[in-house]
Amino acid sequence: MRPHEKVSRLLPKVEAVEWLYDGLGGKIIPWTLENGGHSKDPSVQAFIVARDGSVFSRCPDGQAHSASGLSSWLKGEITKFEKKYPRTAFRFEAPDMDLIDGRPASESFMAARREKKPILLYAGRDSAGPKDRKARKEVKAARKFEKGALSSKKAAEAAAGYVLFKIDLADERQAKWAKTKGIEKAPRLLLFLPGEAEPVDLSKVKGASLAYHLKKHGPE
Amino acid sequence: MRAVSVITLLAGAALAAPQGWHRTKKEGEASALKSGKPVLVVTIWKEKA
Repeated sequence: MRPHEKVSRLLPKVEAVEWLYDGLGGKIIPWTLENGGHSKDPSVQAFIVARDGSVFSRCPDGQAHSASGLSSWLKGEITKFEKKYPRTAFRFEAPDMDLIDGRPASESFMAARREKKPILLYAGRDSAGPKDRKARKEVKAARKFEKGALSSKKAAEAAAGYVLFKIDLADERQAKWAKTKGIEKAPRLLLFLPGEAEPVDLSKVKGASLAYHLKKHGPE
Repeated sequence: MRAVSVITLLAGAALAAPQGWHRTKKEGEASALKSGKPVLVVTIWKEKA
């Protein structure tokens, strides 16, 4: 994959802002200097900022000027950010995803199945193209689901002992893999129990009820 | 020149704001409140057309 494609692939995971310098006497240069910048010139700089406006991290100057440097910095910072500011009360992890004989496969998912661990798989959608109305509806529904059932602390506590995976249907490879699990659209929450071929669909379950279901099926 | 090449790589546009990108930090933060995503702020100088 070419370096700039690596950057493009990461952009759906952020709210990207192109902040044009407002002159040498404007407000942007003082802001960059306050947040780790060294240049009084309007140079290209990249920052990760939290929703409250605080700067989470700044891309080192050497990396901000190349697509490969920027993509590797961005990838690492997104992971760190999501750990610090989880979007849900659940601590989901992204399963690894490889292509085997041209088909997407996840070794970490298969390993959890082999080890007879219960798996809670959440399929969300983080982004959609501006003209893709169906996908945009899914993004909205997924966000609502995350703010609802998946923000329940009780439910998250009840998920102790589960392997928690989250996939993003906006990612082509993950969406292909999801289809092999019967997932066509977001949001879906599936519980894969050891020894059971078919998952339990918890997509319609609310927070308190989700805690009950997870306790009922979970490891003792 | 170096900056311009990075802008082109990132944005794919020389002068207009790239599609899907916010124009101000404030706009990005407002969207992040809804989406929960981190805000990537890229400061760039562009000559006016």
